[in-house]
Amino acid sequence: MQANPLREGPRLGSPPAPVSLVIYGATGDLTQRKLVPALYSLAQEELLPATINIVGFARRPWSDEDFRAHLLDGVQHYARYEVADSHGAQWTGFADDLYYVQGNFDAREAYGQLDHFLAQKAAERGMPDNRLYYLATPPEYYAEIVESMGALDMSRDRDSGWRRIIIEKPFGVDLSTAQSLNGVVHKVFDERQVYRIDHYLGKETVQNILVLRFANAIFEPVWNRRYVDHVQISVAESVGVETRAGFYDKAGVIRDIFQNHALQVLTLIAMEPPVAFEADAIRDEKVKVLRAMRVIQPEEVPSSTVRAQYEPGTVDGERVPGYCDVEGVAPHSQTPTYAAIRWFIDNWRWQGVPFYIRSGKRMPLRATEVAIQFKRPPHLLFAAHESASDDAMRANVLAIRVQPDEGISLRFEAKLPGQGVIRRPVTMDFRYRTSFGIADPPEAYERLLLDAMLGDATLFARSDEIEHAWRQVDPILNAWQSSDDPLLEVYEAGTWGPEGAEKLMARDGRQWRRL
Amino acid sequence: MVQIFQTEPRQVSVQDVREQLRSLWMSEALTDRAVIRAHTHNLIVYVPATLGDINQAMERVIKATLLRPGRVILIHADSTGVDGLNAWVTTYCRPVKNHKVCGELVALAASGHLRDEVHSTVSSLLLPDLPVVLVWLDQPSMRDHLFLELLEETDRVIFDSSRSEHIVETLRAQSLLPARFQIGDLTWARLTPFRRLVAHLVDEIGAHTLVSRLSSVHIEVVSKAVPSSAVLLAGWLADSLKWEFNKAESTSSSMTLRYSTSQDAVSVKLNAVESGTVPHGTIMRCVFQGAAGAAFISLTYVPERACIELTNMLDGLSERRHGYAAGPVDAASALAEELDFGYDPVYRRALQAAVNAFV
Repeated sequence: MQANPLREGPRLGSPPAPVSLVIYGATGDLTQRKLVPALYSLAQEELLPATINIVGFARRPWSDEDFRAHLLDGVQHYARYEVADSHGAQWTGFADDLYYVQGNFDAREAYGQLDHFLAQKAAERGMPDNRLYYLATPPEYYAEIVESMGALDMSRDRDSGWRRIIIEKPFGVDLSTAQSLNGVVHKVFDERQVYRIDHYLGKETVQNILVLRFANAIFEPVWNRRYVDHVQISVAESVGVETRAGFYDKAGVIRDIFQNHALQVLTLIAMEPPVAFEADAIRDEKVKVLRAMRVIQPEEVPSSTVRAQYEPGTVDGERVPGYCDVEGVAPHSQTPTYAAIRWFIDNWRWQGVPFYIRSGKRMPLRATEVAIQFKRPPHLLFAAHESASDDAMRANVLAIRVQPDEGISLRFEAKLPGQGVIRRPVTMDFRYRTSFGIADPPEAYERLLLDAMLGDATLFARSDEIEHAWRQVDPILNAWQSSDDPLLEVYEAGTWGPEGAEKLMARDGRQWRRL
Repeated sequence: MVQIFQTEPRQVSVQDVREQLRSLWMSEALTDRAVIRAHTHNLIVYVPATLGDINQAMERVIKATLLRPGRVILIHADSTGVDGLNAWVTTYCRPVKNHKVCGELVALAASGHLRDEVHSTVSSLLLPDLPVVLVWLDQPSMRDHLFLELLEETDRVIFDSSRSEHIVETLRAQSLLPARFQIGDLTWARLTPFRRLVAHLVDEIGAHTLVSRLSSVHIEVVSKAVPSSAVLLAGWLADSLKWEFNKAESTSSSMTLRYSTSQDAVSVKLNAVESGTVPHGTIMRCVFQGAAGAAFISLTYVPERACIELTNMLDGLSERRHGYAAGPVDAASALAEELDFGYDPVYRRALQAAVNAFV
């Protein structure tokens, strides 16, 4: 089809082609709290396709109307745009495109009905039969759903329309299950049809890492082992496990944060410049980083990792129970809710530069940050600070705040006004909100759903990326399971984690940044 | 209606503007909500005194810049008065969740001969390293010293041709500005919802189908005489679909533009219609008609439902109606769009196509 000449120019863009978005597990939290509010916000910004069917598939015996009412509640609570009037054009125009098909995930005939419904709806509306399937179910259903779609030939691109699938994390629980799931998926879908979602990659600040690095000339020359002392990636959460206790107790912090979000951020920080701003060019470079990361050997696990679990404490002025006291958590659970890990990347750029990653639940505040700490000047003209640690504290740091209060700051030394030469650290700050006057940036899911509809896989993980990430964390998980070294430490809820994490840094003559 | 928090404008001496702004921000920081002081751009807004007094100008500018606040320098100019230059400063914010997103306004009332000299004061108030955008709410003239001086300071200039009673002269003056000046028009931004829906239709049916069936386009706009919005919409269609202009006929409230196309010929009829409640310049209807004069696609603005209703009656498809939430674009949204997207070469081409029809 020829390009539409009326779409020329920067303002009208090219919206995705008409599509049926099928959400498996549509009665769950993810659909109500994230997916449909994101779609509603996209609709308000006229970024959705000209024609779209949003089709929920789940077990509950709901009608279209039940489904719409359930989603209206979610949109009212979680969308960036208000629904001023549930009978007004904004909501009804959107809700008219919402449909519900009831079926069990293990019942093949239900997929047949769904397939028929989609084809019929596309014909009725005079639209191509493009389909984007979204797996928003618990992961144990992924294989079943994919195989069922394969059995009914629902996955093959055809003249009447393309087929794509979005798969939510977790993608496997270790390398072997990830490979097995990739195997199942690849029997039914080509890799180019698969969009593995990690919502961290949809965050503005994470995307801005690439712009910061590759749209500016001043950072790249110092972005290497010659100037960088170490890198810290911190993902702190103030929340506990709450409604996810059942999942979390099996997963723990490594599977929940490290294997996906944290390593994704690490690859963006450490990657080489891609040859183009294209999905595979960028993903190729990310994979090279994962391949170059030194796998932590079992005997190195005690000295390179720390694990811990939170005990009762106070967060935001409220008393909170310890992890093992949360409903749904096994009474003597050994699941870590905190981990700190030191990795090295064996390549020319990063040889010898440690990457420290820490993440924990029930910390004093929610904050995700990447800090590039630079080396100190080779020769200091000025009087040293009171202590060596004070000096380390005052090295130049480029801090990328992913959330909240998204922005970038550069810390450097300045002379305190007055007599003598007294140095003080100061910062140059860039804050998204103040620089762009925006208090409410788009949600990550908005960007990712739109990209999947447009067929842009840049912000989605490829199968080899997923598997290499598991190769990094599997040895740690295995060592933790088979040995008591390092011990599972405890930390009080509302603190920055266990003593072992401080020692991990102190052994290298470094310390964690205060978030 | 968006709530606006604003400090009372303080009249200050021109030399004290920066100091007074600092003190206003200090007091703003003590309020209960977190204050976000936006630093995105310098916006110079030129308003001739004929459009109202300084207080009215400040109120209008604050409303119009609410969505994209920054440092706004308002020039309220009266070349006929006695020589004088007065300044006011104020900060203003809109609530967004638990925050207030704020901008700052410096208003300069320049009269008499000082009107032509106010550019030097404006220069001294610009924040460094941020883009400078001039919004010129008057007829542009290459003989106007102040206009030329400000042009040299700016990265972009935005007009509002909808205000003009002499659209031919206004659009021609805009089109004659050298290409090195990146020009924009709030009227163009106001057309975006309609343009998007027309593009949307062409996504579905294909440009070739549209042109092969088309014999005329009928556009109705709220106005007493045909306004710039209608002319620009016609210019956009003509330029995008590669129509060659043949001739124009006009009356006091209508205009017919005739083009030849790759297939045949097409006429675009622009009609000014009255409406009590709908803002001036709003496109009410755009109907695409086939050879026998039968409409096959229409877009109609329905004020009661605040939507544009799109009806597709193409062969092979049953008549389909769909409402898209869209209404007249207010000044704040139009300015936000112009600032967000920056220079739009499609606008420049649409403007040129529109102007060609009058030569």
